[in-house]
Amino acid sequence: MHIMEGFLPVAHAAGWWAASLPFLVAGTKSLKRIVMEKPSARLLLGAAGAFVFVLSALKLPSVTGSCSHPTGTGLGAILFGPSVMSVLGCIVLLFQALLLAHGGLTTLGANTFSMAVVGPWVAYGVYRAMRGAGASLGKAVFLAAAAGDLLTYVTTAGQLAWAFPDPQGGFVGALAKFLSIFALTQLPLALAEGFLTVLIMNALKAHSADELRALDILPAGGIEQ
Amino acid sequence: MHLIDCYAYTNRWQTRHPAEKAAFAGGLLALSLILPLAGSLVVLAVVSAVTLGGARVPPRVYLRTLAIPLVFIAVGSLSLLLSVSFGAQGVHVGLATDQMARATRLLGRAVAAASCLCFLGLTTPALDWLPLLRRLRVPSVIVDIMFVVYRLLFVFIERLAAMHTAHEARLGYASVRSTFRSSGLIGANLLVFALKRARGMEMGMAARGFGPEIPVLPLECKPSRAVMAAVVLVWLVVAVIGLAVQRWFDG
Repeated sequence: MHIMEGFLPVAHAAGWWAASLPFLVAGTKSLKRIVMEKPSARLLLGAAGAFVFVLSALKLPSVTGSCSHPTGTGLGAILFGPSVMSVLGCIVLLFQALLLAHGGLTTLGANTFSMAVVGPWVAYGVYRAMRGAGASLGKAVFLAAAAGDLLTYVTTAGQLAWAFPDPQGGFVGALAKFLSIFALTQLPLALAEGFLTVLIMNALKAHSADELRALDILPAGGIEQ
Repeated sequence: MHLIDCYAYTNRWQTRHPAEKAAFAGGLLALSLILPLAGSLVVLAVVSAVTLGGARVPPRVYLRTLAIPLVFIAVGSLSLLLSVSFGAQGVHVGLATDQMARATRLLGRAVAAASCLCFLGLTTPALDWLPLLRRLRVPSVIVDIMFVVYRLLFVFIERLAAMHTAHEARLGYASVRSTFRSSGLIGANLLVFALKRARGMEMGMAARGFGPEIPVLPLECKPSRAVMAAVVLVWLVVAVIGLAVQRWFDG
């Protein structure tokens, strides 16, 4: 869920920028290291970014009639690693603002935090933990993508609730309000995204083992063969 | 996927220096956040007039672009009128009519800010930002990757549309089950295509001896001083009028 341009007050917009910045700096550092070792990785990373952008145009069976599409953060985090994904996600969000008028510049920090920091790190953490516990690839990918998607929305709801607390209920009331607005559409959507991500991973594993090996040059995990 | 980039190449101000447009829209964007409601409305009026009259973006295109964030902004603002609290009697849900002013303020601010974003998107080709970002000392890795993302975006969108049509023609979206299957296959194929494409470009660039940075021609023109001065003047005038109207309105 993108927070639209101008929706957050100045202090919140700046605060979320500050919160995302360490992750962006760390991501940029690891990108620099990759590119220094292998200059051609820029093209692979650029292709990965464009892939994540286009992923949001995939169709999901819609539950409520509204347009529903995957966020792609879980798949991106599993394929490319979470710290690279933070930077790629921020770039994708910037292009979505400028090319689709979706999201915004002042709210880019907040959107980066929910969709390019929380989503990928949660998805990656779940994926790693599940694989470590001996779960199958399918189960791990499903839970990782669904959790990443869901936590992204919870973060957005929290950001909105913090910026616009309820006059009576305060932060908790506002959080309950925004969460219940999202829950109707987002809970099925998170499950759908998890399921779709498993299908994508299965198709990749079955047909494109060679291509996946190319992702090995990316840092922090990347895909496990 | 409806990209607004094509209008950025066809408007009258396409060749103007990006720094001029960035200063204009960025300054007004900041003002729309800081100023009271009347100020936001003045920003909206000025940006709309400049987009339509100055850059000559077709009104239909401008309105349709502004309508995209407008739906989300309207829903978000309306939700402020809904009050949820937890009391002794459990959950209490009610209408908060006293929040009208707050909701209107948010609506005005967000629409004004969205108009600034639309101005940028509709008048400035995305590639024009990259030299500007480089001047602002954004690490060159990031700028290079942005450059590649932008280049490949359109190729992938076309590819996706073709695969989508192919699946649709074979009843790929006829049921929930097949929609999942089709989207899964398309997602996987797209990644393979993306990686192949990247490898092809990689070889091409290596063969031409590209180093650790993708060189691009610097911007030929410089931001005009007169325009920059005019932009600052617009900021001041908007701020003064906005504050004056608000004061008059408050009585």
